[in-house]
Amino acid sequence: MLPPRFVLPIGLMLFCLAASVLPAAESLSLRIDSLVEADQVGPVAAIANDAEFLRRVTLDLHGIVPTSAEARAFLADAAPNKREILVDRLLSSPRYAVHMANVFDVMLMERRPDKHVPTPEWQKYLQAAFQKNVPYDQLAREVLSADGVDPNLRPAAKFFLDRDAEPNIMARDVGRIFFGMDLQCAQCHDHPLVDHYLQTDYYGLYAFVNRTVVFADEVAKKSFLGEKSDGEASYKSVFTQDAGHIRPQLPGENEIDEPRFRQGEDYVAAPLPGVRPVPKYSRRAKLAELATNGANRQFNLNIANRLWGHMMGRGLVHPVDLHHPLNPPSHPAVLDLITNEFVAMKYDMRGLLRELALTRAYQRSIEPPIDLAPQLVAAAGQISGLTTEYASLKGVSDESRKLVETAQTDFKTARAALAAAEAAWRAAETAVTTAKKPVDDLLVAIAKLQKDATAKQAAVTALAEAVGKSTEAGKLLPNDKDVAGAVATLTAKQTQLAGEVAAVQKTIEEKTAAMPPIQAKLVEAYAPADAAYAAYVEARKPVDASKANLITVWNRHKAETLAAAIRKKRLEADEVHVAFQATLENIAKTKAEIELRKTELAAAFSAAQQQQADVTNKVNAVAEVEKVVVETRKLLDESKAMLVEKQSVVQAVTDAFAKTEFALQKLPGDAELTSAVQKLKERLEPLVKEATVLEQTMAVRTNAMTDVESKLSVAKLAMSTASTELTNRQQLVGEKTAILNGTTDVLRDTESAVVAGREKLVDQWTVAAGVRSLKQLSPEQLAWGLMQSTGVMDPQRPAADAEIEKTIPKASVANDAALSKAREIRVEQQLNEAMRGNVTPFVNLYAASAGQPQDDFFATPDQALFVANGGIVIGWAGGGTLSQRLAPLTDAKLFADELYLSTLTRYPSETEVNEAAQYLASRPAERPQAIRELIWSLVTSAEFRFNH
Amino acid sequence: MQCNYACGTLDHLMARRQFLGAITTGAAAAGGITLGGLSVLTQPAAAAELAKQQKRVIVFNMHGGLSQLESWDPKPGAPTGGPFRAIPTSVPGTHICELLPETAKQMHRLAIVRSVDTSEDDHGKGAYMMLTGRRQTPANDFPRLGAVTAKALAPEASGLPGHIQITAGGGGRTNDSAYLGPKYAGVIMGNGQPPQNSARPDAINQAADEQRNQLRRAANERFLMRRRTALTDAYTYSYEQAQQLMARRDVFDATKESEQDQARYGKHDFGRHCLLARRLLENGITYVQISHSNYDTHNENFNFHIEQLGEFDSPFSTFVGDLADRGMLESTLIVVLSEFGRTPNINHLYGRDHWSKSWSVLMGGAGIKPGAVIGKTNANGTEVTDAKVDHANLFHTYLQAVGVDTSKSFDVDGRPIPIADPSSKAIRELLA
Repeated sequence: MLPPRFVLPIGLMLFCLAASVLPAAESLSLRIDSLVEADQVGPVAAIANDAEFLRRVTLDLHGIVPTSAEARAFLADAAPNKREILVDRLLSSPRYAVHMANVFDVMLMERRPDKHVPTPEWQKYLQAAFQKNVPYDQLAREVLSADGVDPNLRPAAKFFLDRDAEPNIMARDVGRIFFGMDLQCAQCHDHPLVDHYLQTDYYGLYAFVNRTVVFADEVAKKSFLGEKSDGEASYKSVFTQDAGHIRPQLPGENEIDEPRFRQGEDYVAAPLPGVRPVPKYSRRAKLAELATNGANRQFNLNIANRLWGHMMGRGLVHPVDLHHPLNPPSHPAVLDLITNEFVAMKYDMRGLLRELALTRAYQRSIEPPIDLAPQLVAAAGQISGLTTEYASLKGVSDESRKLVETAQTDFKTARAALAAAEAAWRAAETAVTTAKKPVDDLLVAIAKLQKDATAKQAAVTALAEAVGKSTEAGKLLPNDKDVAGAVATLTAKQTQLAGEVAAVQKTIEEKTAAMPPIQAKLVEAYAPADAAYAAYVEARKPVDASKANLITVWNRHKAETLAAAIRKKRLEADEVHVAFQATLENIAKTKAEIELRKTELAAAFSAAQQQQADVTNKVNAVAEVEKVVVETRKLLDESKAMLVEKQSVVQAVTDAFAKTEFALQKLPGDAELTSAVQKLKERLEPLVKEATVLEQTMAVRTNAMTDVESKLSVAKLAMSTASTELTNRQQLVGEKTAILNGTTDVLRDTESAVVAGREKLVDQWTVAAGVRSLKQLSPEQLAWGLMQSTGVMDPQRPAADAEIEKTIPKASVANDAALSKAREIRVEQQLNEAMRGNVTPFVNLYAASAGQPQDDFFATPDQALFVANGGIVIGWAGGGTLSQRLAPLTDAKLFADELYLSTLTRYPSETEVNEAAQYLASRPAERPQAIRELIWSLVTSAEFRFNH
Repeated sequence: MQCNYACGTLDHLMARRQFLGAITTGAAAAGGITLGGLSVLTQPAAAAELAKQQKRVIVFNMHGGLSQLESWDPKPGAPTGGPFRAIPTSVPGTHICELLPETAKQMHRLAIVRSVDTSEDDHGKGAYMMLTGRRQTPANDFPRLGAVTAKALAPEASGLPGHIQITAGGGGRTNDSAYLGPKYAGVIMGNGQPPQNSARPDAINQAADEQRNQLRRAANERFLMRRRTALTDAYTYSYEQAQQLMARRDVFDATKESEQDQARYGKHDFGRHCLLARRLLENGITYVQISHSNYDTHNENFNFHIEQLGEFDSPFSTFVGDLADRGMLESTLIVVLSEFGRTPNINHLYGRDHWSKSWSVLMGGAGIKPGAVIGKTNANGTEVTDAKVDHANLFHTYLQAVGVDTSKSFDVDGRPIPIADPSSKAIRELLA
């Protein structure tokens, strides 16, 4: 099948070499993508745009950001396969070798301070390796086996030499760096937190390296690695007290079979004073051989995973030094594929990095997809199947755990049965050691004498020369007493020393003569030891068989545990999706509830408002009635007053009539009195009538009053009822408000749960290579990126070229492509060394401590203070060629283009163009400073700090 | 045991991010929401309460090896006892050396462990053990107490460093945080100088600084619209922390303390450093370590101790008293330690040599039983006779005293690593 990348217009295809466009098999990058995408559900991030790809791949393969010129050229390039062309260009540039050498330096040495091999030498060795694309297995073999003697390979010995050949450091770092297993916590017992790291895993590696020693050569004034032929790897668990010796054992494999050399016959160079010990059988050489011969799976997985991690920002297994069954790879099939292919490609690092760079997985954007629905649905659909699968696989793994326990018990029983034979053999070896001691002592003594003799002989030779010369001088100055005296003195000294040499030689001969009988005793001790060893080896067979069984069962259990863990990891990922879906549903539900609550609140509110109106009416009614009451009372009171007035008049007239009538009785017939009585009677009658009228009026008004008062109390009652209802309704509004607020709170919580859930999902997709991970620039990338962006490096490259020109003139290599290439490398190396001092402050602030893993991100205020207030970054921003290039650019767009292409490798948006222009306009009198701050603000932004 | 660090890490990052988010956007968000009013009102009080409860640690590192016999475990009259008397202290029945008369008055706030046996007579190795709680192994480096304390206790959102070491000179950051990473390494205040690069350069005035940071933030905002992660948050936040640190640069300046206090502590280096330490702790720095040098008295042990402890006694006791008066003693652990003690035997130069089999450490404050005396040595002080403890026990104790569960592990980028030596435990009798 023709991969899509190669589908070109026919016309274009004619220009291409058929071989390169028609691969025999599907390329590795496409196979990786098929596997990655088979595991992905729903949409993934889009492919990153050209600008982002350019910056990313330049950082990953060159450790630097592109120049604005490179960015312009790449963005303007219309070639459909320009990414592939770019990747190939980067991989064949000397800068690739320099950058990868730095990456491998950091990976292998973890910024340990130099001890025996200076970093520049070591980096040059690595640079040469990457330039020549030395296969990784060979590089690893050189690093693991170098002893520092061969000048060409001396730098490779840095790995062990600069760790001072400390066996625990070596064991730990070989495990971590070459096998991806941090076994440190398994040194004193099985790992307390990782089920599948055993103390024997640790000591199996330890056994390969614990005989290696640093040999300080006093003559060469250098240190080398030597190796002893003895030294057991013995362990004892501080938890279980389980103890034993172990032969070298690679992760996942059995203890190795080893040749046995008799003590005294076991060295190529025995460890005498001044002699670097070299055994006939080197365990470290065996490590180099067995690790790198292609057969050790863990060695291969480790490097494939690390190279993937280098490009993708995180390993398929992450952290890269924590391979174990319960920390499964994100894409097991991909890890298998790239591991197998990498081995099949003969550990071709450039080749694998190329394929990785061309994958869609590598080229994904950092922006997660917007539409999540398909993923969520798909994830929900997988859960039940995965749960069943996981349960079943977990059951299988639990079953095999039992087999492991049985195998362990069997092994311990077999080992216990071996104890007697082992003790007998060790006793026989001790007897050999005892017999060998006098031989060694004698050898040491002879070696010392030899040294003495050699030194004296050298003096004799020198003196002989001096005697010759001074005798000649004596002939030229026959009468000079001083010269004659000197000749005599020298001759006497020569004779004396020659005598001493002879005496030492004689002693040596005597000592040498004394050797045979002592050696014979040693030889006598050999036979029993040989026999005891043979018996031990015979007796060990069941132990070996039992151990082999244990390893087989254990590996099977680990594989089954891994299989279960892979399902579990997927299940967990799906559960994150489902949980997110639930949160989304929750949010919808909560939003609906909020609507409902709002309606309810509105209804309650309007009911309360209505009631409020009603209450107002009722209050008004009461007021109205109260007004009537007042009026009515007023009339009533008036009536009452008039009546009282009238009644008092009636009373007075009545009294006057009664008194006058009484007087008439006393004076009967008195005309005056009769008339008065008559008149009073006549006056009284209308008055009484008037009073009666008034009485009637009052009765009416009293009734009216009663009537109004009862109306008032009715109105008041209505008002009070209405008020109570209003209070009730207002209370309801309060309740509904509280409910709405509560629901709003829930919504807010749910919304932050959505944000958090989305971030979790994005993390999941990052792991799933569905979206590109962000990774920080390494301290070196940061320093080089800053130097490139600000243009402080611009004058440095010509300077480096000029320096090389002194020894390799360009003209001299112009006609030879290979030499010309070699010259380019020298220039790149020269530049790298020249810039080292600029990089150091960044390493000091941005790198993890020496000897610690170097890929963790951390951000501290002291870094920010260094960038904000320290002289370096401000100086570069203000003093590099970028600020010079920007100074004359008065057009806002041209200015911002150059600024953004140089710093962030992309064209600016309109907003960004305007922002820069406005800022410049705000500081017209301080344009250089304003330009400096603009550069500073972009190189300190997160967009610059991260590789995205 | 199963590894579940993968999801733990994620949770950790999430929680942290939300926390950071809350801190940076809190003020704006709170203003806009009706119900937020309450939290706005209660926040300062809560913050003050939190600050009060915020646990802190101060370590006085008596460089060179303080003599236990001239300090916390005097043996007057014994052949090994030397010329000094023992004096009563504020704790009935507890005596310390007469060279520490002021400290004697503070002993009811402090506690002595007299039964330390670290069996390590090398300066470097002894100091390593006392500050990491582990024996030095070539293959693995362990973080020092300051880094562990900062990691476990320092508030993430603070702009101020969590771990400060006041030394005689130098600057920058210590290299003692091992796998916890440089984030928790100590900020060095060489002779009390403020942290490096904490002052704005002359070339950039306040307005220009604000403007360029505004541009930086705007650039960040545009990028973070595309992708925001815990890493980007940590990065952008480090600049805000730097700004906070610059704004609070006074915290590092002991001359801002009153004349009277400066006089009380003394104008010599150690006095100034103690006052600075008080100021730092009051401003929420989690871990402060002061070195007092030099106690390596192979000759003239007694004269040197008169001189050294003469300098130490008054500022130290003033410091303890001040912490108590300010209500900070309950939340601040005080430790006075050395790499080892000194030989009971007095050599022919009137000196005492390195001795780690039976020596003393002083503690006090947070979580420590006031006035306690743990352990005993024999009459000549040559052996521990009761309650022997070592560096690992002490390390567990320091951390548990400030509420750290030392049976837990740190998650170091997916790698779980026990906080303290899992085969050891704290000194129960000493913990309040």
